[in-house]
Amino acid sequence: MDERSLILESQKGDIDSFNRLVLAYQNIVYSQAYRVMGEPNAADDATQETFISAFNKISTYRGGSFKAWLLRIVTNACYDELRRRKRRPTVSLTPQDSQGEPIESPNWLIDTNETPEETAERSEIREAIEYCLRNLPEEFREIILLVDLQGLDYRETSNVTGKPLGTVKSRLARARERMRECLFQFGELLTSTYRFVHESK
Amino acid sequence: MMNGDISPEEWEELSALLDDQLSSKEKKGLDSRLQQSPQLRSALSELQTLRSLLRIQPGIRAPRNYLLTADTEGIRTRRRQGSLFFPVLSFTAAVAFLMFVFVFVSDLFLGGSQVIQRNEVMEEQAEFQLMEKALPESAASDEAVGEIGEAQAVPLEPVEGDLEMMEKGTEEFDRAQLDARAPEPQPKVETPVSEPGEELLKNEPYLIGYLISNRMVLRLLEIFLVFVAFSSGVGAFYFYQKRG
Repeated sequence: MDERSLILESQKGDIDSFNRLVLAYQNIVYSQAYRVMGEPNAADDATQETFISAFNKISTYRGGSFKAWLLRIVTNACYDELRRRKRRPTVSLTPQDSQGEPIESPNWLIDTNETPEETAERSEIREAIEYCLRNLPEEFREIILLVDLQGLDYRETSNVTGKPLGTVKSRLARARERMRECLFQFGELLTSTYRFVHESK
Repeated sequence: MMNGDISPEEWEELSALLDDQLSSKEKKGLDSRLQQSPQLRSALSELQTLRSLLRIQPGIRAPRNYLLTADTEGIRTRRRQGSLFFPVLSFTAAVAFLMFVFVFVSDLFLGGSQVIQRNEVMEEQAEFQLMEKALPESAASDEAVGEIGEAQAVPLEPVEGDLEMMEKGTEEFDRAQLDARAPEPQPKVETPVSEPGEELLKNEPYLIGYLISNRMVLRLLEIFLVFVAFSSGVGAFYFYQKRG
Protein backbone atom coordinates (compact mmCIF):
# COMPACT_ATOMS: atom_id res chain seq x y z
CA MET A 1 0.00 0.00 0.00
CA ASP A 2 1.42 3.38 -0.95
CA GLU A 3 1.72 6.37 1.33
CA ARG A 4 -1.39 8.06 0.02
CA SER A 5 -3.53 4.99 0.65
CA LEU A 6 -2.10 4.65 4.14
CA ILE A 7 -2.94 8.28 4.84
CA LEU A 8 -6.48 7.82 3.54
CA GLU A 9 -6.97 4.75 5.70
CA SER A 10 -5.51 6.60 8.67
CA GLN A 11 -7.96 9.41 8.08
CA LYS A 12 -10.73 6.86 8.44
CA GLY A 13 -9.31 5.94 11.83
CA ASP A 14 -7.27 2.89 10.90
CA ILE A 15 -4.45 2.76 13.44
CA ASP A 16 -2.65 -0.07 11.63
CA SER A 17 -2.26 2.03 8.51
CA PHE A 18 -1.05 4.94 10.58
CA ASN A 19 1.47 2.72 12.33
CA ARG A 20 2.99 1.88 8.97
CA LEU A 21 3.51 5.59 8.45
CA VAL A 22 4.99 5.79 11.94
CA LEU A 23 7.53 3.11 11.07
CA ALA A 24 8.44 4.95 7.88
CA TYR A 25 8.91 8.34 9.53
CA GLN A 26 9.88 7.72 13.14
CA ASN A 27 13.64 8.15 12.53
CA ILE A 28 13.09 11.42 10.70
CA VAL A 29 10.79 12.73 13.40
CA TYR A 30 13.06 11.58 16.20
CA SER A 31 16.11 13.14 14.51
CA GLN A 32 14.34 16.45 14.24
CA ALA A 33 13.17 16.29 17.84
CA TYR A 34 16.60 15.32 19.08
CA ARG A 35 18.31 18.12 17.20
CA VAL A 36 15.85 20.70 18.39
CA MET A 37 15.63 19.53 21.98
CA GLY A 38 19.21 18.38 22.33
CA GLU A 39 18.49 15.49 24.68
CA PRO A 40 17.20 11.99 24.10
CA ASN A 41 14.47 11.87 26.73
CA ALA A 42 12.87 15.09 25.59
CA ALA A 43 13.20 13.95 21.97
CA ASP A 44 11.53 10.66 22.85
CA ASP A 45 8.61 12.43 24.48
CA ALA A 46 8.30 14.89 21.63
CA THR A 47 8.31 12.10 19.06
CA GLN A 48 5.61 10.17 20.86
CA GLU A 49 3.57 13.31 21.28
CA THR A 50 4.04 14.12 17.61
CA PHE A 51 2.64 10.82 16.39
CA ILE A 52 -0.31 10.99 18.77
CA SER A 53 -1.03 14.52 17.67
CA ALA A 54 -0.58 13.57 14.02
CA PHE A 55 -3.05 10.72 14.34
CA ASN A 56 -5.58 12.94 16.07
CA LYS A 57 -5.19 15.67 13.47
CA ILE A 58 -4.71 13.58 10.36
CA SER A 59 -8.16 14.48 9.10
CA THR A 60 -6.83 18.04 8.69
CA TYR A 61 -4.02 16.85 6.39
CA ARG A 62 -4.83 18.19 2.92
CA GLY A 63 -2.14 16.70 0.73
CA GLY A 64 1.36 17.90 0.02
CA SER A 65 4.46 16.49 1.63
CA PHE A 66 3.51 14.23 4.53
CA LYS A 67 7.06 14.44 5.78
CA ALA A 68 6.82 18.24 5.89
CA TRP A 69 3.49 17.97 7.68
CA LEU A 70 5.02 15.69 10.34
CA LEU A 71 8.07 17.91 10.66
CA ARG A 72 5.82 20.87 11.26
CA ILE A 73 4.09 19.03 14.10
CA VAL A 74 7.30 17.84 15.72
CA THR A 75 8.98 21.22 15.37
CA ASN A 76 6.02 22.98 16.93
CA ALA A 77 5.86 20.39 19.71
CA CYS A 78 9.55 20.87 20.46
CA TYR A 79 9.39 24.65 20.54
CA ASP A 80 6.25 24.54 22.65
CA GLU A 81 8.12 22.35 25.12
CA LEU A 82 11.16 24.62 25.06
CA ARG A 83 8.98 27.67 25.66
CA ARG A 84 7.22 25.86 28.49
CA ARG A 85 10.56 25.06 30.06
CA LYS A 86 11.63 28.66 29.78
CA ARG A 87 8.46 29.81 31.51
CA ARG A 88 8.67 27.17 34.22
CA PRO A 89 12.22 25.95 34.48
CA THR A 90 12.34 22.75 36.50
CA VAL A 91 16.10 22.42 36.39
CA SER A 92 18.46 25.34 36.81
CA LEU A 93 20.30 26.10 33.64
CA THR A 94 23.21 27.32 35.79
CA PRO A 95 25.34 24.35 36.74
CA GLN A 96 25.56 23.85 40.46
CA ASP A 97 28.06 22.05 42.64
CA SER A 98 27.20 19.40 45.21
CA GLN A 99 26.40 22.15 47.74
CA GLY A 100 23.87 23.73 45.40
CA GLU A 101 26.11 26.73 44.77
CA PRO A 102 26.33 27.96 41.17
CA ILE A 103 29.50 27.14 39.32
CA GLU A 104 31.34 30.28 38.32
CA SER A 105 31.28 29.99 34.55
CA PRO A 106 27.81 29.91 33.03
CA ASN A 107 29.30 29.23 29.64
CA TRP A 108 30.23 25.73 30.64
CA LEU A 109 28.86 24.35 27.43
CA ILE A 110 31.55 26.11 25.47
CA ASP A 111 34.86 25.34 26.99
CA THR A 112 36.84 28.43 26.08
CA ASN A 113 40.00 26.92 27.59
CA GLU A 114 39.84 24.10 25.10
CA THR A 115 41.93 24.64 21.99
CA PRO A 116 40.53 23.84 18.57
CA GLU A 117 43.06 20.99 18.36
CA GLU A 118 41.87 19.47 21.62
CA THR A 119 38.28 19.84 20.47
CA ALA A 120 39.12 18.24 17.18
CA GLU A 121 40.82 15.39 18.97
CA ARG A 122 37.94 14.85 21.31
CA SER A 123 35.05 15.33 18.90
CA GLU A 124 34.15 13.70 15.74
CA ILE A 125 32.68 15.71 12.96
CA ARG A 126 29.19 14.62 13.76
CA GLU A 127 29.44 15.75 17.32
CA ALA A 128 30.86 19.02 16.07
CA ILE A 129 27.90 19.56 13.82
CA GLU A 130 25.46 18.65 16.56
CA TYR A 131 27.25 20.98 18.88
CA CYS A 132 27.10 23.85 16.41
CA LEU A 133 23.48 23.17 15.66
CA ARG A 134 22.60 23.26 19.33
CA ASN A 135 24.33 26.60 19.70
CA LEU A 136 22.46 28.25 16.89
CA PRO A 137 19.65 30.60 17.80
CA GLU A 138 16.30 28.81 17.60
CA GLU A 139 15.04 30.67 14.56
CA PHE A 140 18.16 29.77 12.57
CA ARG A 141 18.38 26.21 13.83
CA GLU A 142 14.79 25.56 12.86
CA ILE A 143 15.43 26.59 9.27
CA ILE A 144 18.78 24.89 8.71
CA LEU A 145 17.48 21.64 10.19
CA LEU A 146 14.56 21.59 7.82
CA VAL A 147 16.47 22.60 4.69
CA ASP A 148 19.91 21.02 5.05
CA LEU A 149 19.25 18.05 7.31
CA GLN A 150 15.68 17.12 6.41
CA GLY A 151 15.99 18.12 2.76
CA LEU A 152 12.89 20.28 2.48
CA ASP A 153 12.80 22.99 -0.16
CA TYR A 154 12.22 26.64 0.65
CA ARG A 155 8.49 26.49 0.04
CA GLU A 156 7.99 23.43 2.23
CA THR A 157 10.10 25.04 4.91
CA SER A 158 8.00 28.16 4.65
CA ASN A 159 4.87 26.05 5.12
CA VAL A 160 6.32 24.18 8.07
CA THR A 161 7.55 27.24 9.91
CA GLY A 162 4.82 29.60 8.80
CA LYS A 163 7.45 32.13 7.77
CA PRO A 164 7.57 33.93 4.41
CA LEU A 165 9.92 32.66 1.73
CA GLY A 166 12.14 35.70 2.05
CA THR A 167 12.55 35.09 5.77
CA VAL A 168 13.40 31.46 5.15
CA LYS A 169 16.00 32.47 2.59
CA SER A 170 17.70 35.07 4.78
CA ARG A 171 17.60 32.97 7.94
CA LEU A 172 19.06 30.02 6.12
CA ALA A 173 21.94 32.13 4.83
CA ARG A 174 22.67 33.44 8.30
CA ALA A 175 22.37 29.99 9.83
CA ARG A 176 24.87 28.61 7.35
CA GLU A 177 27.21 31.48 7.99
CA ARG A 178 27.05 30.86 11.74
CA MET A 179 27.51 27.14 11.29
CA ARG A 180 30.58 27.81 9.21
CA GLU A 181 31.98 30.10 11.86
CA CYS A 182 31.20 27.60 14.59
CA LEU A 183 32.83 24.73 12.79
CA PHE A 184 36.03 26.71 12.52
CA GLN A 185 36.47 26.00 16.23
CA PHE A 186 37.19 22.45 15.25
CA GLY A 187 40.16 23.46 13.13
CA GLU A 188 41.91 20.45 11.58
CA LEU A 189 38.86 18.28 11.95
CA LEU A 190 36.97 20.70 9.82
CA THR A 191 39.82 20.98 7.35
CA SER A 192 40.09 17.22 6.97
CA THR A 193 36.35 16.93 6.73
CA TYR A 194 36.25 19.57 4.04
CA ARG A 195 38.91 17.64 2.20
CA PHE A 196 36.90 14.46 2.62
CA VAL A 197 33.77 16.09 1.35
CA HIS A 198 35.55 17.57 -1.63
CA GLU A 199 37.20 14.25 -2.46
CA SER A 200 33.97 12.34 -2.09
CA LYS A 201 32.16 14.72 -4.49
CA MET B 1 39.24 31.07 5.32
CA MET B 2 38.04 34.29 6.83
CA ASN B 3 35.51 36.11 4.76
CA GLY B 4 34.79 38.99 7.06
CA ASP B 5 34.33 41.53 4.30
CA ILE B 6 31.45 39.69 2.70
CA SER B 7 28.17 41.43 3.35
CA PRO B 8 25.08 39.61 4.70
CA GLU B 9 23.37 40.23 1.34
CA GLU B 10 26.22 38.45 -0.43
CA TRP B 11 25.98 35.53 2.00
CA GLU B 12 22.32 35.32 1.25
CA GLU B 13 22.97 35.35 -2.48
CA LEU B 14 25.63 32.66 -2.17
CA SER B 15 23.33 30.52 -0.05
CA ALA B 16 20.47 30.95 -2.49
CA LEU B 17 22.78 30.15 -5.40
CA LEU B 18 23.55 26.77 -3.83
CA ASP B 19 19.86 26.00 -3.56
CA ASP B 20 19.18 27.28 -7.06
CA GLN B 21 16.88 29.96 -5.71
CA LEU B 22 18.25 32.89 -7.69
CA SER B 23 16.64 34.37 -10.74
CA SER B 24 18.69 34.25 -13.93
CA LYS B 25 19.39 37.97 -13.64
CA GLU B 26 20.62 37.62 -10.04
CA LYS B 27 22.64 34.61 -11.03
CA LYS B 28 24.38 36.47 -13.85
CA GLY B 29 25.22 39.37 -11.54
CA LEU B 30 26.64 37.07 -8.90
CA ASP B 31 28.63 35.05 -11.42
CA SER B 32 30.38 38.16 -12.64
CA ARG B 33 31.24 39.20 -9.06
CA LEU B 34 32.46 35.69 -8.28
CA GLN B 35 34.89 35.91 -11.18
CA GLN B 36 36.26 39.17 -9.84
CA SER B 37 36.42 38.28 -6.10
CA PRO B 38 38.53 35.37 -4.81
CA GLN B 39 37.08 35.91 -1.31
CA LEU B 40 33.58 35.45 -2.65
CA ARG B 41 34.64 32.29 -4.45
CA SER B 42 36.24 30.98 -1.26
CA ALA B 43 33.09 31.73 0.72
CA LEU B 44 30.98 29.96 -1.87
CA SER B 45 33.23 26.93 -1.70
CA GLU B 46 33.03 26.81 2.09
CA LEU B 47 29.26 27.15 2.06
CA GLN B 48 29.03 24.42 -0.53
CA THR B 49 31.13 22.13 1.63
CA LEU B 50 29.13 22.91 4.72
CA ARG B 51 25.88 22.26 2.90
CA SER B 52 27.17 18.94 1.58
CA LEU B 53 28.44 18.03 5.01
CA LEU B 54 25.09 18.69 6.60
CA ARG B 55 23.19 16.84 3.90
CA ILE B 56 25.23 13.68 4.23
CA GLN B 57 24.67 13.50 7.95
CA PRO B 58 22.78 10.34 8.78
CA GLY B 59 19.54 10.69 10.65
CA ILE B 60 19.47 9.76 14.29
CA ARG B 61 17.94 6.37 14.80
CA ALA B 62 14.86 6.35 16.99
CA PRO B 63 15.54 4.43 20.21
CA ARG B 64 12.23 2.59 19.98
CA ASN B 65 9.11 2.21 17.90
CA TYR B 66 6.38 4.76 18.38
CA LEU B 67 3.52 2.55 17.28
CA LEU B 68 0.12 3.56 18.51
CA THR B 69 -2.63 1.39 19.89
CA ALA B 70 -6.23 2.20 20.68
CA ASP B 71 -5.17 2.30 24.33
CA THR B 72 -2.39 4.82 23.79
CA GLU B 73 -2.98 7.76 26.07
CA GLY B 74 -4.18 10.80 24.19
CA ILE B 75 -5.46 8.91 21.18
CA ARG B 76 -8.85 10.06 20.05
CA THR B 77 -10.19 6.94 18.40
CA ARG B 78 -12.46 7.97 15.62
CA ARG B 79 -15.42 5.88 14.73
CA ARG B 80 -14.88 4.34 11.38
CA GLN B 81 -17.10 5.54 8.62
CA GLY B 82 -20.47 3.85 8.83
CA SER B 83 -20.09 2.61 12.36
CA LEU B 84 -22.52 5.26 13.55
CA PHE B 85 -25.00 4.46 10.82
CA PHE B 86 -25.07 0.77 11.59
CA PRO B 87 -26.59 0.95 15.10
CA VAL B 88 -28.95 3.75 14.10
CA LEU B 89 -30.21 1.94 11.03
CA SER B 90 -30.51 -1.43 12.72
CA PHE B 91 -32.42 0.17 15.60
CA THR B 92 -34.71 1.93 13.13
CA ALA B 93 -35.32 -1.31 11.27
CA ALA B 94 -36.16 -3.15 14.48
CA VAL B 95 -38.52 -0.44 15.72
CA ALA B 96 -40.22 -0.17 12.34
CA PHE B 97 -40.68 -3.93 12.20
CA LEU B 98 -42.17 -4.08 15.70
CA MET B 99 -44.49 -1.22 14.87
CA PHE B 100 -45.51 -3.00 11.70
CA VAL B 101 -46.35 -6.16 13.64
CA PHE B 102 -48.39 -4.14 16.12
CA VAL B 103 -50.27 -2.28 13.42
CA PHE B 104 -50.82 -5.44 11.42
CA VAL B 105 -52.26 -7.29 14.40
CA SER B 106 -54.40 -4.28 15.26
CA ASP B 107 -55.57 -4.17 11.68
CA LEU B 108 -56.54 -7.82 11.84
CA PHE B 109 -58.64 -7.26 14.96
CA LEU B 110 -60.12 -4.07 13.63
CA GLY B 111 -60.79 -5.77 10.31
CA GLY B 112 -62.62 -8.61 12.10
CA SER B 113 -64.75 -6.26 14.13
CA GLN B 114 -65.43 -4.21 11.05
CA VAL B 115 -66.67 -7.32 9.23
CA ILE B 116 -68.94 -8.12 12.14
CA GLN B 117 -70.15 -4.56 12.26
CA ARG B 118 -70.68 -4.47 8.54
CA ASN B 119 -72.53 -7.79 8.63
CA GLU B 120 -74.74 -6.43 11.34
CA VAL B 121 -75.33 -3.34 9.28
CA MET B 122 -76.12 -5.45 6.22
CA GLU B 123 -78.58 -7.56 8.17
CA GLU B 124 -80.23 -4.51 9.58
CA GLN B 125 -80.33 -2.99 6.15
CA ALA B 126 -81.91 -6.09 4.64
CA GLU B 127 -84.48 -6.17 7.41
CA PHE B 128 -85.21 -2.52 6.90
CA GLN B 129 -85.70 -3.04 3.19
CA LEU B 130 -88.05 -5.90 3.87
CA MET B 131 -90.00 -3.73 6.19
CA GLU B 132 -90.20 -0.95 3.64
CA LYS B 133 -91.63 -3.42 1.14
CA ALA B 134 -93.97 -4.88 3.63
CA LEU B 135 -95.50 -1.59 4.77
CA PRO B 136 -97.57 -0.67 1.63
CA GLU B 137 -98.88 -4.26 1.24
CA SER B 138 -99.91 -4.21 4.84
CA ALA B 139 -101.80 -0.99 4.29
CA ALA B 140 -103.54 -2.56 1.28
CA SER B 141 -104.46 -5.62 3.27
CA ASP B 142 -105.95 -3.40 5.94
CA GLU B 143 -108.18 -1.82 3.33
CA ALA B 144 -109.12 -5.27 2.08
CA VAL B 145 -109.96 -6.34 5.57
CA GLY B 146 -112.22 -3.30 5.92
CA GLU B 147 -114.01 -4.11 2.72
CA ILE B 148 -114.53 -7.65 3.87
CA GLY B 149 -115.99 -6.38 7.07
CA GLU B 150 -118.39 -4.18 5.20
CA ALA B 151 -119.25 -7.01 2.87
CA GLN B 152 -120.03 -9.22 5.82
CA ALA B 153 -122.08 -6.52 7.49
CA VAL B 154 -124.26 -5.77 4.48
CA PRO B 155 -126.56 -8.65 3.51
CA LEU B 156 -125.58 -10.06 0.18
CA GLU B 157 -128.00 -9.44 -2.62
CA PRO B 158 -127.79 -11.74 -5.53
CA VAL B 159 -126.73 -10.20 -8.80
CA GLU B 160 -127.30 -11.53 -12.28
CA GLY B 161 -124.07 -13.49 -12.39
CA ASP B 162 -124.74 -14.79 -8.96
CA LEU B 163 -128.06 -16.03 -9.95
CA GLU B 164 -126.53 -17.90 -12.83
CA MET B 165 -123.95 -19.33 -10.54
CA MET B 166 -126.53 -20.27 -8.04
CA GLU B 167 -128.23 -22.11 -10.73
CA LYS B 168 -125.06 -24.02 -11.52
CA GLY B 169 -124.56 -25.02 -7.99
CA THR B 170 -124.15 -23.64 -4.53
CA GLU B 171 -120.70 -24.97 -3.93
CA GLU B 172 -119.12 -23.34 -6.96
CA PHE B 173 -120.91 -20.13 -6.14
CA ASP B 174 -119.59 -20.11 -2.62
CA ARG B 175 -116.03 -20.78 -3.71
CA ALA B 176 -116.13 -18.09 -6.38
CA GLN B 177 -117.54 -15.61 -3.93
CA LEU B 178 -114.84 -16.39 -1.48
CA ASP B 179 -112.14 -16.18 -4.08
CA ALA B 180 -113.35 -12.83 -5.31
CA ARG B 181 -114.17 -11.08 -2.08
CA ALA B 182 -112.55 -12.72 0.76
CA PRO B 183 -109.12 -11.20 1.47
CA GLU B 184 -106.11 -13.30 0.76
CA PRO B 185 -104.20 -14.55 3.75
CA GLN B 186 -101.44 -12.04 4.44
CA PRO B 187 -98.19 -12.72 6.25
CA LYS B 188 -98.13 -11.58 9.76
CA VAL B 189 -96.84 -8.05 9.76
CA GLU B 190 -95.20 -6.46 12.72
CA THR B 191 -95.14 -2.78 13.06
CA PRO B 192 -91.50 -1.57 12.92
CA VAL B 193 -90.24 -0.53 16.33
CA SER B 194 -87.53 2.00 16.91
CA GLU B 195 -84.38 0.15 18.05
CA PRO B 196 -80.70 1.04 18.48
CA GLY B 197 -79.95 -0.56 15.13
CA GLU B 198 -82.07 2.08 13.51
CA GLU B 199 -79.60 4.80 14.40
CA LEU B 200 -76.81 2.65 13.04
CA LEU B 201 -78.74 2.21 9.85
CA LYS B 202 -79.34 5.90 9.53
CA ASN B 203 -75.60 6.60 9.83
CA GLU B 204 -74.58 3.53 7.96
CA PRO B 205 -72.92 5.22 4.93
CA TYR B 206 -70.88 7.46 7.19
CA LEU B 207 -69.89 4.60 9.45
CA ILE B 208 -68.76 2.45 6.59
CA GLY B 209 -66.81 5.36 5.12
CA TYR B 210 -65.20 6.00 8.46
CA LEU B 211 -64.25 2.38 8.90
CA ILE B 212 -62.95 2.10 5.37
CA SER B 213 -60.87 5.27 5.70
CA ASN B 214 -59.46 3.95 8.98
CA ARG B 215 -58.46 0.75 7.28
CA MET B 216 -56.88 2.68 4.44
CA VAL B 217 -54.79 4.64 6.91
CA LEU B 218 -53.72 1.44 8.58
CA ARG B 219 -52.82 -0.12 5.25
CA LEU B 220 -50.76 2.91 4.29
CA LEU B 221 -49.07 2.84 7.68
CA GLU B 222 -48.28 -0.82 7.26
CA ILE B 223 -46.77 -0.20 3.82
CA PHE B 224 -44.74 2.69 5.16
CA LEU B 225 -43.45 0.68 8.11
CA VAL B 226 -42.51 -2.25 5.90
CA PHE B 227 -40.66 0.12 3.62
CA VAL B 228 -38.80 1.77 6.50
CA ALA B 229 -37.95 -1.57 8.11
CA PHE B 230 -36.70 -3.02 4.85
CA SER B 231 -34.66 -0.03 3.71
CA SER B 232 -33.17 0.47 7.18
CA GLY B 233 -32.32 -3.20 7.36
CA VAL B 234 -30.60 -3.10 3.98
CA GLY B 235 -28.72 0.05 5.01
CA ALA B 236 -27.66 -1.49 8.30
CA PHE B 237 -26.43 -4.59 6.52
CA TYR B 238 -24.47 -2.47 4.05
CA PHE B 239 -22.71 -0.51 6.79
CA TYR B 240 -22.12 -3.67 8.79
CA GLN B 241 -20.39 -5.21 5.79
CA LYS B 242 -18.44 -2.01 5.18
CA ARG B 243 -17.34 -1.85 8.78
CA GLY B 244 -16.05 -5.35 8.45
